[in-house]
Amino acid sequence: MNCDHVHKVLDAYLDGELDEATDAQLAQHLASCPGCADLLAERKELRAAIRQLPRHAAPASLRRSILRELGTVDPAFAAKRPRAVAWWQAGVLAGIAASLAFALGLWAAAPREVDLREQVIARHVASLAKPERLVTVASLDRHVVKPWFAGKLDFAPPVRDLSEHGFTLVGGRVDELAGTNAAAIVYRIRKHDITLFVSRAGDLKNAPEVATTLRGFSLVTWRSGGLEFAAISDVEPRELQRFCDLLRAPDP
Amino acid sequence: MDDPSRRERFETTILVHLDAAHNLARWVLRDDAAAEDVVQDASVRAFRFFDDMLGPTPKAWFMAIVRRACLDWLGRARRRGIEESYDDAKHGVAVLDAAGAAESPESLAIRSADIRQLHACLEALPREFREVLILREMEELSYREISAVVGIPIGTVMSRLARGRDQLAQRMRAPGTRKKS
Repeated sequence: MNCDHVHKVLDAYLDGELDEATDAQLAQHLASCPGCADLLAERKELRAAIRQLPRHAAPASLRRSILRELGTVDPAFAAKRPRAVAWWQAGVLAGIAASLAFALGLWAAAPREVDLREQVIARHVASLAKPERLVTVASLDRHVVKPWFAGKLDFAPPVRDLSEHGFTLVGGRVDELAGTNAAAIVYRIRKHDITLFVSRAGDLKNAPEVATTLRGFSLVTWRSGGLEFAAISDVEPRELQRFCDLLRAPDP
Repeated sequence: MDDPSRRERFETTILVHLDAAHNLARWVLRDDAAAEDVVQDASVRAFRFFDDMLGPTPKAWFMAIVRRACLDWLGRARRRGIEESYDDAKHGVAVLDAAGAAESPESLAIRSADIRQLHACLEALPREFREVLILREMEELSYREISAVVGIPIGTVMSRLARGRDQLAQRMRAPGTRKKS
């Protein structure tokens, strides 16, 4: 890789947006080229300085004023959208969907999965709303988080240190999913929280990953080693996938 | 279809990003009162269309609505005769003078005394560079999110960030902002 090419992608390198191969090539070039390394150092300095600038947070009065106005928004407005489906149409559609699902033998699986995903979203969102109460072990060290679960759960959820990949371990708590105890382990990347739910699987067979998005959230679920895993976040699907791949990679 | 949990969901997925929204609006509009008005309107609009949420993340979706509202406001202001162009004589230079100019000319070497100068330089940057820098450096959005907020391809996000950073570094080094060696 020559200097001209490095200059073209240096910003993407700084921003952690390059694919692994290019990223490695660039790192190699930077190690041996003082000129490009200086340029990167200047970029980093500029970034650090911008991050010292005051962030214009929303004034409390604005927040109150918005909440007040939301109370006056006619909830029926949302239902008047042209794309909205009337309740009776929804009922008919649900009926058709149900009979189709039944015909395909999906009746047992589909509704429960949807239900579980809803619960995963609800528990994740609840913890975002009250982080101080719900993250019971606020710790950046997996050697603190992992033993903390001992004695509280009848399984040992895996806890990994992924900080070198940008995922900081925030902590863990005991939560509940579908009526059973679950470990909720919270990681953070670029101000986004990822909650990983781990619970005992009813089925000992491993199940492959299923990635979905639901109302703006990314979800990945899988089953392995008698444990059920569900990762959720508002990061992009690609980023959550990277997180799950790292989590499932064999210990170095 | 009155759904009390809808509002709760809106608060926990969208309004958690209110600080980010206000920060973007303030940097794009460079006006406190306008930023508050625009964010208020954009929040209510987002609430109405919450069920149609699209885009890579809820934050990006909300920021896109806020940015759109900012551009609408700037368009109206321009029609009223208020220029969007930044008045160096009024803002920038005064702040630069106040920030002093005693830095070493060899490098950018941005220390706390230079923060005010940087603030002025960033405010004076053309809007298309200013907004991507705020989204990336302060709000830590990914290229994909910025692409969705600003409505430009990911490659353009990268080149805009590069040019924005170049221009900002140049302004920080510009004659008159520091002593000549």
